[in-house]
Amino acid sequence: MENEAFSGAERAVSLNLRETIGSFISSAYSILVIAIVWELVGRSEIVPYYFLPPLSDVLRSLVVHIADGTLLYHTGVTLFRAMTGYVIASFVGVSLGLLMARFKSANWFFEPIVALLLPLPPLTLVPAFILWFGIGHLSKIMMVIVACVFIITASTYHGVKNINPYYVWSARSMGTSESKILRKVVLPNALPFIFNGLQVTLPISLIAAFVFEMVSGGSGLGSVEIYSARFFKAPELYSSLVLITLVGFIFDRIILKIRSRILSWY
Amino acid sequence: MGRSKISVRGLSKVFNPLKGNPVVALENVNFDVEEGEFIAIVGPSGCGKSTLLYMIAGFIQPTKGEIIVDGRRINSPGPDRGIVFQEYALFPWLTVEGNIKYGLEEKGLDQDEIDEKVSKYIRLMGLEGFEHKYPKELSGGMKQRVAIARTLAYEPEILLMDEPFGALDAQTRELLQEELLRIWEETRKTVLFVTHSVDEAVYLSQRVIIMTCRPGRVKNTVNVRLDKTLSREDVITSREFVETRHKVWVDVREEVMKHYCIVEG
Repeated sequence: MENEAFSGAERAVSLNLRETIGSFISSAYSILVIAIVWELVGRSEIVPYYFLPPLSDVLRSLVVHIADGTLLYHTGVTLFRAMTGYVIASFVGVSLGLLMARFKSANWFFEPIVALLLPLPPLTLVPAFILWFGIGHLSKIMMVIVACVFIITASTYHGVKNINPYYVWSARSMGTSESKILRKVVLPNALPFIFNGLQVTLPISLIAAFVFEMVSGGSGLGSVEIYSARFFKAPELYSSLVLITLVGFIFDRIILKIRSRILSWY
Repeated sequence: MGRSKISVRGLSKVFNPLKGNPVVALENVNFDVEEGEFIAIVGPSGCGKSTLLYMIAGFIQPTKGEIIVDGRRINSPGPDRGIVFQEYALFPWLTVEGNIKYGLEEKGLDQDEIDEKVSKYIRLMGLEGFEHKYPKELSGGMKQRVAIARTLAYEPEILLMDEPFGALDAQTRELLQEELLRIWEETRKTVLFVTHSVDEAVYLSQRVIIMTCRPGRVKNTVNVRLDKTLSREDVITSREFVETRHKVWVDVREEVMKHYCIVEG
């Protein structure tokens, strides 16, 4: 009897494991197909090696350069710039959005600025930012901020403006004072909108840092890629691409996880 | 007879939209409500009955006239007047329990008292097992149970209800009407209940105030003398119910027709 129960439990565990692996393979199916096609095309010599080296060469280069620390260093640099800018943009964006939604005078002053800068492709500012802030960390961080901040401002503003007046009335009739309405009603109500902004701008922060590095060189994954291309080091070029893709993917998963944790009510 | 619990005197409300002409929603409305009375307010849609309720709640200010509650003139919302809206007024980011707690926490009660009241009103409204659900997971009927529990929990003396069962299906609606009556019998709160259903008004209230078509005025007041201890079936088949219902219905119908004449003609 005991034995039976044990084997039952064991079976359940192995089934569970098989299911997890199975679901992973089925969800990554299309990725696997692309990987195989990539490898075959790379090996077949239809295209020159420096256009598309086989995936296995790219992965080997990835492992080698991660092991010797260079790729980790450059990934760290890019992440530092993107995340610093992103965090600053989040704080400034949310505060500015709240301010504009709550105070007519703030809206009167900032609305035209946001309206003008929101649709501006931020990377057009790269040359000016190199002049103003140099080619070190500062210019990239500033670029990330500019690329993200107005999107977060706009989503926060709409979240605050989108409030159902019955929520405010309910809170007031239950004795919530005017000064507490913001924290107890307006902010929780705006949270899904704010999260939309934070979610959209997370990959944008990586794009902004990466592209700026491609243009200005120095360090970071973007510069690794552009140098590799310049010297026809195809495996290095693609390994930096694979890495930034992975980083973007992981970040997206993380923010989705946080979102579903915080916004389970939505 | 002591003084009135609620006294509405010469109340008028004019809305001034940014574009177009001013809208006179209410004109010289007068009535008194005694403590513990259950009043229904009926009238054609757009007659300003919700506006009237929101003014008593203190959400909007009258253009003319005044509202006196317990001898004091009203100019802002307060926890002495609890309100239940038609729909969508539960905080979606709080659970059932969190919603019911809200008013109690604002009142500054200590944790034991809060817990005790929350479980009391969860039991009263039949919400056991739903404490940790969010509003989006609930049906319309359950949402309104929570809304009523949330308002009852902080124990306002006056209950203002704005078509609270208007969006519910017939069965749920009848069930909640009976529960509301049961609660009223127990607590004897002063209730102002806005509805466009004549049946609902007569079944629930002791007095029906019929409003005219816009601008809203008090057209008539009909006293309801029903034995509320009887079952629903016995009540609605009784002669008093049928007669009172007819009396109210004739008045409301007249106003509804007038409303159509304005809109259509």
